[in-house]
Amino acid sequence: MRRSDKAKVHALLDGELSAAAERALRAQAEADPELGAYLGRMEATRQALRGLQRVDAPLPAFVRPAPAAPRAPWLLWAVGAAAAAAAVVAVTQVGEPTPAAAPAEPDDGRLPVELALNAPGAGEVQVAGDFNAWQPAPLTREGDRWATRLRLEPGRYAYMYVVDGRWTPDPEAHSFRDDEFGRKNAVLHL
Amino acid sequence: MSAPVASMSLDDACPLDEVADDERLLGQILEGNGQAFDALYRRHAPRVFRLALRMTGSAADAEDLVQVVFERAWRALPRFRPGEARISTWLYRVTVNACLDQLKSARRQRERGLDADGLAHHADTRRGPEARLAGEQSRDLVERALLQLPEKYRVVVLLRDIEERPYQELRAILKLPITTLKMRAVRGREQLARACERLGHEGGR
Repeated sequence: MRRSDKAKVHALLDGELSAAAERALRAQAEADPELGAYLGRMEATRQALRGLQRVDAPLPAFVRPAPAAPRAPWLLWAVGAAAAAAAVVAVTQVGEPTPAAAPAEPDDGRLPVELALNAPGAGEVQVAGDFNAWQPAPLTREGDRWATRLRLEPGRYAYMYVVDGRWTPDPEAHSFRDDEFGRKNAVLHL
Repeated sequence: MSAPVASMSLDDACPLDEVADDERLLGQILEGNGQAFDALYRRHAPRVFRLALRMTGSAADAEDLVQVVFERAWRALPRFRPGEARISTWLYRVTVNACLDQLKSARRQRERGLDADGLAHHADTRRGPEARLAGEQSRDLVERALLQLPEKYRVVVLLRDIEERPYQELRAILKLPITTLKMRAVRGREQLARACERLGHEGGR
């Protein structure tokens, strides 16, 4: 059987053949036993599959998940000029979250991190991620860049920036993860 | 069968009013209206359940998967961006991923010998032979034949021939080019036909 004939059979199953093309295919199938048998098998298979559209089992009830456990509070440091200069002394690159060189941190196992985005034209920049239950929290404008500092336990955190309401991945993140919306979340490794 | 069109559009399989209504419900969910989520569940859960049931062959697994998928939806919908993806497409995508995870995990368990009832596990959607009518026998056979298909073909056949989603939507769900999807539909249908014939032959002996 020619490949093009097989393709026509599946185009027919997919509803992609015009009425005239379907008539021509059926006429050809009557004259060609091999094509006729193939068409018959494929149509029977499709018919059998349609029979599985009916589901007899009752639909389960949805059990709502418990509210997300409260996350570590969103620790924004004072972003006064002097404090910022002291805290971000090690940050040399805008974009990639950077463990900040923090002075005299409490030894609770959490790491200081700065999230910063270069967005000079933005009116508002927020960040949402695994670390704050995906509730957008504001970054502070620092000249052309927007930044926030927080302390997180070691681990991996997916996050996105929200720039003037638009969800935007961090262009300078080292790795990304599919967010199931067809986009990539940036992933922060600590 | 004789649709005089070259291809189906997304709207053929998912009417625009349903899409608009999903977006209306999404707006209500974002405002904290719990009943709107229930309405979304009632609309989409049957499709999620059916796809999960046909993918895994297990009603118990499918029930669990519906819960998994809608828990994910419950948490993720606040981040859903209307206009960029349809809720139904997104739910199918999450369902496929959850099913593939579940099948992989079941396979690992069987390989480690932890699931001694592996075969029985995949038999719980079937009833005893005495209770079956002829039509039911045929449904049974197709259900079993489907489970013999490689997952990459099974998912395409299910989405195309049972869920009746157009290829454009399959492309969004599975992130594969349409040419690949069409090839898998052809191979899946052919393998399914062979599996049905084989199982029918074995049953008749």
